[in-house]
Amino acid sequence: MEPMLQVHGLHVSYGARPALRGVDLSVASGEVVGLVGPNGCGKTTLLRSVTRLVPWRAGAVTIGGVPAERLARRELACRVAVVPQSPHLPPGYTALDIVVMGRTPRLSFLQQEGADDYRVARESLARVDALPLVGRPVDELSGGECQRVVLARALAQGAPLLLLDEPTANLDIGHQIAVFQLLRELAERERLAVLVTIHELVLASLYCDRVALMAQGAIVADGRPADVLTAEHVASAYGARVVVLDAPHLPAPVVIPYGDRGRGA
Amino acid sequence: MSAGNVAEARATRVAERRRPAMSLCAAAYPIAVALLLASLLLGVVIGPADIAPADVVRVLLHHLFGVDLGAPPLADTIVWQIRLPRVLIAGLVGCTLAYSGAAYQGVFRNPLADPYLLGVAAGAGLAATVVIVGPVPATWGHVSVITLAAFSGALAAVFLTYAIARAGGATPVTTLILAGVAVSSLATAATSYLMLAKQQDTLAVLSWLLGGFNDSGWHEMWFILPYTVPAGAVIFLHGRLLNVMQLDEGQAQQLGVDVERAKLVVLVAASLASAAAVSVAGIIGFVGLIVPHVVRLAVGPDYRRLLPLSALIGASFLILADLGARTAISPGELPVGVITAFMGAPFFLYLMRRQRRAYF
Amino acid sequence: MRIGRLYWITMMLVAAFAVVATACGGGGSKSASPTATSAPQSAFPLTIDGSDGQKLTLSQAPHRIVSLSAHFTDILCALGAGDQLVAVEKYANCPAGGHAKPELDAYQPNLEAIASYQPDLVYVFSDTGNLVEALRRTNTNVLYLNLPTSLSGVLDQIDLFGKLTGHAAEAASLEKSLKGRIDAVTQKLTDVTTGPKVYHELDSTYYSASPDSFVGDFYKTLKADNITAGATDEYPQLSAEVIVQRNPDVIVMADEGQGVTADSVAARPGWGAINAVKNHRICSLDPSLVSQPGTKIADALEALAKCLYPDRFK
Repeated sequence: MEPMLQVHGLHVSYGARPALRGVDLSVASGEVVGLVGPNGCGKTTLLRSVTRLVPWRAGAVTIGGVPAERLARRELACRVAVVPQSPHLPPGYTALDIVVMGRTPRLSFLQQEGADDYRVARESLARVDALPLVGRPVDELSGGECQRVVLARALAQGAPLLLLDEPTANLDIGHQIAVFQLLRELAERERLAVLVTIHELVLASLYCDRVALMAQGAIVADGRPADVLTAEHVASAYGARVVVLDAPHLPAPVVIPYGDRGRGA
Repeated sequence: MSAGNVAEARATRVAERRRPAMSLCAAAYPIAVALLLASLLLGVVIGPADIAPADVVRVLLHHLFGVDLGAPPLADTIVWQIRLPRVLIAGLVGCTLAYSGAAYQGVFRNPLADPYLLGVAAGAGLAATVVIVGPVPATWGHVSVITLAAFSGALAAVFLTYAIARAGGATPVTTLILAGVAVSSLATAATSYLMLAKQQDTLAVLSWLLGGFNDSGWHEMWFILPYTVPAGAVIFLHGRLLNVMQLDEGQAQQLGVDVERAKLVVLVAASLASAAAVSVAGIIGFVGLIVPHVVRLAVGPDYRRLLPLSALIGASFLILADLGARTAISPGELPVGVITAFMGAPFFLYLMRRQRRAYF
Repeated sequence: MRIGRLYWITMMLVAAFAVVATACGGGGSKSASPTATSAPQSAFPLTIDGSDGQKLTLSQAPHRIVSLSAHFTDILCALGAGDQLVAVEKYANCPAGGHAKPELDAYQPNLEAIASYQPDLVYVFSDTGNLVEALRRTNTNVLYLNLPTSLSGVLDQIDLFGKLTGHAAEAASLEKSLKGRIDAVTQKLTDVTTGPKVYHELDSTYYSASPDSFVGDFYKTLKADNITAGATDEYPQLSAEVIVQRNPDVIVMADEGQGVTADSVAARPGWGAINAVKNHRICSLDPSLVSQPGTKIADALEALAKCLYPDRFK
């Protein structure tokens, strides 16, 4: 079965500065792929290229078997839903208003949102545990609440491919777990293909089926979390000293900072 | 109740109070329509020429339904040929400037945007000045050369702004704003120079620039109607898309909106309509900037409501302002732009203090 | 004789004292208006009250005059004092015959340009950009007199300017001739109680002249009923419906230069109902006749009289 998202040899530059050097990546339906790497390695650029916000110099992006450049904007939006990093939300609109904007790709120019669309929007809000926010203006919400609203919007789009750019950046640990559990549910039950960039390597180990490690615009390791998130890989990519802990009940070994301040040391 | 619950309850109450009341939203349309009808009525019945309201009604019935009730001929001339078209044109211009202003604010996502941002006013002013100061006659029979020149000048300025700002398939809004400011400044400087260079025409130029409806007749109405109505329809239909575009352009594109095309269509429609309004009425400030803000403070930022309500309120506002312009120093006329500022600014400040939310 | 010598010495002292007294006490007379003394040459020293409350005293006729007003230039040239002007503002110049003078801008006056002519008198009718104070600080004589707002005001100014330039005789004769022509017109109207209703149009956006303005004075003299009555400004912009309601019998267009014609006036919305339009009593007036309060007042009055009373004035 062909992967939902396939990226081949993608080269992207911002002016003279190369941002992606021949990136190869695929995400299959029902899979949660974590994209990790140090700041500035190109994770966000890769996500933006998939939705054609950033043009590429060479390479190919295929979504559901169709080359991305052959898809019209609306068709692309029906197939790919994006949760950007810290998105701007215009003040005055309620959370429900924002979530129902996720139905935009399904509406033709003259159509307005109908009862069905509002129902889907409410359901999406419920799934991210944000239903009480329904009538609240978004400028009154905390960073974490806004993030969940945007996630709900992406869910409301109902697209088979979901791209998330650091969706747990502002969330407390309870909500971090909730979001990743939701992503696993979406992948396993609804067969979505999920590509998520993460900073918290622990979450990558615990919740992703595969992890792709990026450094300086290229993928340096791609595979199971246990194979990719090793002390050597992390040290060479991040320049950081870490310890890899394994425990029987964990799905994969987890990476934690080495910590020079040990007990009794 | 725990302290946290009390705090949360208080926060919810504060939030409820600051949101536009649901009842106000529901009543907004009937109120706006009623206000417009009242303004039309006042505008037609009141004026510097003392005409009894009964005579006004007689004249209207005569022309609208063919019923002859013996209205004096002078009243007939004044009401039907001068006052009624003047009131209708003021309403159309007010409506156009208000919805264009709202459209510009939506496209640029900037609270300071108004229909003159891309050079419509400056271009129209320069072209009108050239005609007034130059050897070209002001009218060819029924056709007002000044009106046509102003219209062309307005469109030329917008075209120039757009051409300057376009960079490889996209026109970023900040670049558009800067280009618009540059083109407007240039045109305004040229206008000032011409205005002072030929001093016997300074008064005529200033008169045109300050704007007014003193010379309006049915002809002017047939000129703006074909721009105002279709442009308004196109812009109103983009209400939902304008809402989505209030997210940043990246998010809107990822939601499937062809942002560049939507921007182009809305700006072209708004510019055409404002160009027509300005060429007939001169440069009336304040309406396009403030009316959308007032409506937004009352009913929220949803463009599907904001655009038509701004149109209705803008029409009423300018009709009433024009009423003030022609009666305040009767038999003299005040420039209508002075009245719009005097009327609008205090009311807007009052609304701002009541509602602390910022919508941008 | 001893008594005789004492007598002569006393007489001489008295005479000397008289001469000194005359010389000292003769300058700075405090008269409110410059009244003519017996002979034209003794018009000096002349004191004039300026429109800003300051007095100007001249001890002799100025010969290097800068005129920042078209009407002042106009009157001086008519009085034959053109060669006493060194620079004039750009909208008027002495007619060909006298050589044209260098031109200045009266609406945006340049202090340096004015000073470069080393004038012994500068005439202004308005104080743009604090020019008057700047000139006075450089010790230049400034005559600041507002434009006259009536025909008699123009005649008074002609008289004053004649004395000022030492051409009092020419001024008297010019006054006499203008007054004669004005009287000739008013005499034919003694039996008129109220003349026609008139609308004087200065500008295609309906600017007109109120009865208190200079232009309005012509219509007052002609006993016409100016429809601008009641306006607060001297030159107000009238509302279209007021013009139609007040229904003037005559329309005087002083704005032909803007492309306004009798046909375009008739085509304005609602104007077809006005008496003046129905009876084709729309006259066009050369704006320069009434644009400055100078020597053309008689020409203007005669032209307007022909327009308002065509049967009495051919």
